[in-house]
Amino acid sequence: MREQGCINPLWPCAMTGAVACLAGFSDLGVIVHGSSGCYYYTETLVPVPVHSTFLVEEEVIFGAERRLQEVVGDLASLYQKLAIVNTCVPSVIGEDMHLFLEDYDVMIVDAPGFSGHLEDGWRKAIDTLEPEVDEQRAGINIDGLFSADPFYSGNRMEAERLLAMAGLAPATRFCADTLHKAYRAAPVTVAANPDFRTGVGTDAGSLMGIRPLKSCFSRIAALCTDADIDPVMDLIDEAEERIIHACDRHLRRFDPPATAIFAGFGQAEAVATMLRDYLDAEIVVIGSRNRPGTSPFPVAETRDLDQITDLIVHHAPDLVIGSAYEETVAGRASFVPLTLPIRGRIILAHRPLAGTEGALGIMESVLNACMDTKRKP
Amino acid sequence: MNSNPLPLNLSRYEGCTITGALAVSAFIPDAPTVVHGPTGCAHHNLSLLHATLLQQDRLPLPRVYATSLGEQDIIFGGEEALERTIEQVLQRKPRAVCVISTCITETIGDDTDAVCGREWGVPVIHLHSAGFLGGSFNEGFVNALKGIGTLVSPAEAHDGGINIVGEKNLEFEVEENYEEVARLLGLLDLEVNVRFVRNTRVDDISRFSEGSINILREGALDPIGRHFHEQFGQPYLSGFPVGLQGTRAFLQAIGDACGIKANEAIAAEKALQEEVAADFADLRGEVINLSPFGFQCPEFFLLSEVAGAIGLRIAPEGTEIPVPFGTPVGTAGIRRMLHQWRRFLHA
Repeated sequence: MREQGCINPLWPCAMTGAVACLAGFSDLGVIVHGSSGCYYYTETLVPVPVHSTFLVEEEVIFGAERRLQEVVGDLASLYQKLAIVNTCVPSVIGEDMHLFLEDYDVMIVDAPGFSGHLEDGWRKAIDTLEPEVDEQRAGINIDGLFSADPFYSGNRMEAERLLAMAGLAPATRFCADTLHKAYRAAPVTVAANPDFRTGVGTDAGSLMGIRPLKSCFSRIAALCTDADIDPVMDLIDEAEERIIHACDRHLRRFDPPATAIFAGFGQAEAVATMLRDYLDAEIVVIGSRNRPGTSPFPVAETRDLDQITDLIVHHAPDLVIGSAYEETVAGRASFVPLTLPIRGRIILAHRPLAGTEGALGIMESVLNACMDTKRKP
Repeated sequence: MNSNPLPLNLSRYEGCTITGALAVSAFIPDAPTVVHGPTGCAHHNLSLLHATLLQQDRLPLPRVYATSLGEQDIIFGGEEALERTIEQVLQRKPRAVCVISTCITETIGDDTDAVCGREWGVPVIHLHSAGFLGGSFNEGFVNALKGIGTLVSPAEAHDGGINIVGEKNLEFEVEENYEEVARLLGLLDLEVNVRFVRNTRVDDISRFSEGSINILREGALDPIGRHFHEQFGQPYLSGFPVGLQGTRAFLQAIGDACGIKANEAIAAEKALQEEVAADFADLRGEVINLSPFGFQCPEFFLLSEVAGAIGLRIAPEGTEIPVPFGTPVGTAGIRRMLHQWRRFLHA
């Protein structure tokens, strides 16, 4: 049985995911092979310049060979390599682009919108890129850096800070690095965002949430004999103490919030676990943007704002965590932003969700939002 | 972005027909829109709508359905998905349904007209779009206005007031621009009949033909003006008022079209414009340089007219002032622009 139509869909398509992934490599020029409509939306999500063939009707009818050669020719000297991401119509037409671009160093990612969602396109891009591990490479790879993620740069900085405290250098940042480094990744990887894991190297775990953070650095110690994780463990303990202290004070005055969380499954579960552990919060539902794994919390997979509205109305949470879309249907519940898009507020600082600063930031936002709501007349 | 188009084709850069069509259909509260294509197409345009509505402090979001075509639908056709989605929409008892096709449904040859043309119990209108294959934003916008026009019932008399046609619903100052036009009409004791289309219900749209004259948002909508003139016999005015003299000419044109003497209204507006000029008398003698920022037109007559009225001189050595992105509407728009100019001069 085919999936029924979606009402107010709030998650980008595969093409966007592929572009956002590849745009993280500074020496890789990314070309959206499609119309201006596809390009303009993607351009609003990705914080670095991307390019487009800006196709028009006659190029669909008579072939896009000349147009592609023109755009690729213009850009070839500016980048180490070019990536062409197919949108829906060129994908269906199926022109053999390798044939007429044989003079150029290009990779072609077939990620039309109809082939899936954001994370599906991201995965196709990684699979086409085929990163490689160099067993001799020192340092730790940072995974889960996804340019459309509002916490992308904050996560990168926080991951680098914690690794440096443990005496470790960042190796390859997936995907916020050079193409060259993608083919010389270190053997061990940590994930700043658990929903975007490349699978490159041995996974030491996620940096998101206090428990996963401890577990991740314990594993790093086991995998990397030159790591000194004690300063990081001390920092995690200190952060946890601060969270416990603030949450205990909150609980002396307020009931724990019944909470609905809407984000990628990995991120949502990390936040849910912290809220349960430190604030005794009831997680009434996790609305997962991507395919969920097993969870101790109730989980529904949805990218449909109508379904999300129904979930919020049904569960009547005190706290909603999600994107600007959930904010519009949160009603009188407190709201904390977690996933894209975040709108209606200014974000200048490089805030992380990962690491100790990320955990502190999430809990700080939750407690402040809950207090603000309680104070409203 | 690539700036070397081949072949020369301006539509290359002008966005998608879906965005244009949705900029109309999403503003009919009791006629939900179905985007017939992959979920991503609906999301991309809904996202733009969401960002825009947040800036206009207007929430919640209109209801936009996606037929959510996947690979199997692309291979075997998406008409069944469209049928199912229309049935899903009808469960909520809308007064009408708008259907926007996408480039991929056009490519695979779905007969969207045929599906929409079946007996559904309420009007199901195919707003011809087809993504970039149907043109660009403006074609989507114009086709949507034409399509929505099929909801209009013919009237025996055109005495119901003035219709406003083709407001730019994604424009930041859309409400302020409307209020200025409504204020000017008020000087002539005229009222707005139908805003076609901005937050207008289906029953109100059906009264469109009762309007005595259609005021188009801008000249690019002249084909729509002619379309409704042929269909309902309504004259049209090609664009909102622009400039000091232009605003007074707008009053004269409306008065002529409606058989109303406009002399008093024009005199009142001229007095208001003199008040505005007096409010900015402190800028007299300042020198400004209008900056096009690469794509705007600094020779636009409005800017030199306003500068002259205030006593500003335009010269290359003057303080750089950007040409406004949106053309100020009426005297109120000019006043807001002058506040910005003062800020530039004093910053």
